[in-house]
Amino acid sequence: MARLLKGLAASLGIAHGKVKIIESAEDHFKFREGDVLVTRITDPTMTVLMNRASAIVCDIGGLTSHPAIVSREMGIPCVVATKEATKKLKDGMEVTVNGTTGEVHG
Amino acid sequence: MEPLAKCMDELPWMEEWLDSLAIGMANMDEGTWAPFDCFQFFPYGSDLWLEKLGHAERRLQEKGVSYEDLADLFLGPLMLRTEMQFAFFDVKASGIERSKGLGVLDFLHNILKAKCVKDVPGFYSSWVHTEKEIQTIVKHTPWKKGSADIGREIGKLMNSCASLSWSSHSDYHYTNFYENHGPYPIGEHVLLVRQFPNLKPVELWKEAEGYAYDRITIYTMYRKQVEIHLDWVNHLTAKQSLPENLAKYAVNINGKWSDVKHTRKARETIAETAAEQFERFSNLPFEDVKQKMLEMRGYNFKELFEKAGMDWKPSQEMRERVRGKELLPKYMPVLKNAEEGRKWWRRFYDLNDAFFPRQLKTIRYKH
Repeated sequence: MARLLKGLAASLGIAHGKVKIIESAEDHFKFREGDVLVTRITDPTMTVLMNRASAIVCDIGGLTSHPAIVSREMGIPCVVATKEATKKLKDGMEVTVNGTTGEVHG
Repeated sequence: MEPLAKCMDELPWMEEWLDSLAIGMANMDEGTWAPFDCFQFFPYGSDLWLEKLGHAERRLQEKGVSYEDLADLFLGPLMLRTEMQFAFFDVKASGIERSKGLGVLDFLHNILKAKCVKDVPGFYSSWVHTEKEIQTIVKHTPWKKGSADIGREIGKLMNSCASLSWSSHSDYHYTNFYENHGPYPIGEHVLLVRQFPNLKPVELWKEAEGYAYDRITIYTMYRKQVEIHLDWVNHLTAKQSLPENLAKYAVNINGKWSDVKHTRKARETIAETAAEQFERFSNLPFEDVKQKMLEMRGYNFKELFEKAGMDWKPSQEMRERVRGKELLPKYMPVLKNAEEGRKWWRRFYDLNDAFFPRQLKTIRYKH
């Protein structure tokens, strides 16, 4: 598997799932349990999705941004500050998110 | 702004405070703050806010209210530390008379000292319970056995409650309504208490009257190898997975101890409420967002202002100051790494350092 992205390792663990790019509320319908939530930065409108996600990947954010904090609480991997997750990843892609190293492979 | 001479003599705790603050700030990304970067907004009313706090202090002193009594009005150190951070900024931004600015900072710090049992600057904890109180929690909480699955469910409940707090109070003023207390070492375990005491802020949002959940407290005991750390602004990091290390837990919802089935129902409902509330806040016209931000800051101090016989809501002058105003220009430089970030933020707040972003120097009011 090739490394697609590198960012900040914000929450430990490794998870595998389908990418779903979430840019607005109109995208929420497509998100399924176990999908990888990929977005510029999470916000509270995505709370239901975050509770279903196997991993979270964001374009921006720091080690103590919202997605990092809640991912650690939920025990799912999270990578932030990738700069281009929402551009490089596509809906339906199968990826492996490594929140311990801050990498996304596909 | 010229450095405040002799500041160190008057605020002997400042150096340690700045160290803790800078570490926490360096891990943040100001580009993610909602609804906007507060430092592009606060300077419009920095002087008025500091004067209001100073006035409250004088009235409370006249009434003979102790710092311990004031500390009881706050959930924990988080809100006091956050507001102190903002007050440091307000002192630099406003050009307020030096003694007034330092007086407000010392006032807040004295309440913070009365609130914290240990670690006042917040290098590693939010330690608000005495040893006796901790033992009481351990002894009298109706603990249930934890597991990784339950740990994940607890995490989802926390996510839902935290999301509702952020969407009701913004990223800046949720701090009297959501806090982690601990971590408290208990033998081979560590105790963390997550508090959400007011999930229905009806004074800010009338829609909150219809919310199903009012207050939630989550008690968790983790195996100590998880190594939990809380920074000065209560952000939690851990060396190992929280859910995988959950040994025991208890959840109190609206005053009743709950099982996992009820916890799941609560987190689903609260998650939907959080989404609706954030949409409501985000869809407000910009002028209303600014007014709401002023209200949120005052609401955080509601009980203190009421104890001083003052109105917590923003004054007409505060409201007029921000009407029709755009946010001040962006001011953050590109920082290469956390070390650079720590140095920059330290200088940003340091009252002994003349540094202040020129983009935020627009507003200077005379007193």
